[in-house]
Amino acid sequence: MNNLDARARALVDAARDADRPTQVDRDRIRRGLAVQIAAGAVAASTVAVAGTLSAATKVALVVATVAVVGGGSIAARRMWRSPDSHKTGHAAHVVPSGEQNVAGGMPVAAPERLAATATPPAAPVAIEARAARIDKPRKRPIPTTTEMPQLPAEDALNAEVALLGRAREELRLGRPARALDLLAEYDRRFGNGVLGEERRAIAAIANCQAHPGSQARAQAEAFLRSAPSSPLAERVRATCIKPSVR
Amino acid sequence: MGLLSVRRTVPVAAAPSGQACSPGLDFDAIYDGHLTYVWRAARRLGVQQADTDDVVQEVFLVAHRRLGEFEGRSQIKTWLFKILVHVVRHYFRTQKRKPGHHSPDSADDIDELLIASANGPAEAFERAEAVRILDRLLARLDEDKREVFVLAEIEELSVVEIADVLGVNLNTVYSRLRTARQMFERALARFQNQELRSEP
Repeated sequence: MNNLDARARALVDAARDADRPTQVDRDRIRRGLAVQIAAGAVAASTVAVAGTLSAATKVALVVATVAVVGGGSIAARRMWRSPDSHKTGHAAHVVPSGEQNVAGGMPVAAPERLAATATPPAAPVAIEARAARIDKPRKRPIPTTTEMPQLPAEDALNAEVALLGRAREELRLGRPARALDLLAEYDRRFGNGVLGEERRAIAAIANCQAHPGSQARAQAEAFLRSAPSSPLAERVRATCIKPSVR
Repeated sequence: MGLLSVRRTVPVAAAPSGQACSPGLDFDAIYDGHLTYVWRAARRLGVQQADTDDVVQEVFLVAHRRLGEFEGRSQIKTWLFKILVHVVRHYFRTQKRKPGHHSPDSADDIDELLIASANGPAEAFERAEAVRILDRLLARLDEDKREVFVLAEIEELSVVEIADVLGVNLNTVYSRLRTARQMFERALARFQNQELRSEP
């Protein structure tokens, strides 16, 4: 079988050497992958181990999950502040030895001292039962944020991750309007959730796809100003900013 | 850095497929050692720039889930390319269903390269130009021939490995590769003639 002629070979060799991911590309993809792996692990753990792990272990797992995300330490700090994290009555703010700093080798913010609360600790059994129920279909309308019962912090984060994952999937399938519907559901359920930054990035991309124009672009620019190192910044830029530059 | 080793902090039961990675395989090392190949092959197979992150992540996500099933009968690189080909084919199927989708040989991606390279030194420009031309020529090949050409000529897999990746027999690989090379050379010759004619 003949090989490529010299001209074609030279072109292929030159292009092969020219095009490779930069360190920025590598880091960005790595962060995105870490988020997806962690989200998969959390989703699976909700179903598979809800009945076997203690609530404290689940909180530690979720904190480790959040910590692998770029900017995740912010979310982790917010979790530490969450009143629900100590309502469990377990040593939820004490990450088991050897786990706190393993996730990504990223330092997790030291837990802030929690204020004393008058709320009695919830029974662990009730927490685990709620975790096991989380994936069951709802038979009644979703209550508004104000009437939404407070979920334990780890369950809420699991649900946030799952809902944003569904929104991203809708984007991937080219259905930005459906993604925006899911984000509206996210707002109703979680308000200013732990994954607010990711929610804003997905909203910016969805708006640019569904309603391209100056308003969507302004939303994207505002996101990029506020979260320039977000793992999703490049996607926002590629979808919303670059097309109109040309 | 160990960013991908969250698995190590998670009980086996929490892994999506219920399987842990094989003890001798370090997923971080696999990622570090093969990202360039997977990323470049995805681009040359026609994945648009804005979608490259998603496609590459999907490949490594599948690899992470299935690493426990890897039996070592082929090289990791070959195994990853097998996953990549499936992910890219699925990507093209969903792209075709999207309203207003455009072909991989889009002006967007080409302009992107020109904008990026126009600001750099001459060498960077020439390299970017080579990538631009290569992508234009690859876009002339149909999907089957493009896959074989990319795996053989750019990623330098053997014919046996390509047959394994694509799940076709050796004769099919030889046949597609021969045709792809001829089409590529003819397309390059036409392109260079056009360039010569357009010069002042």
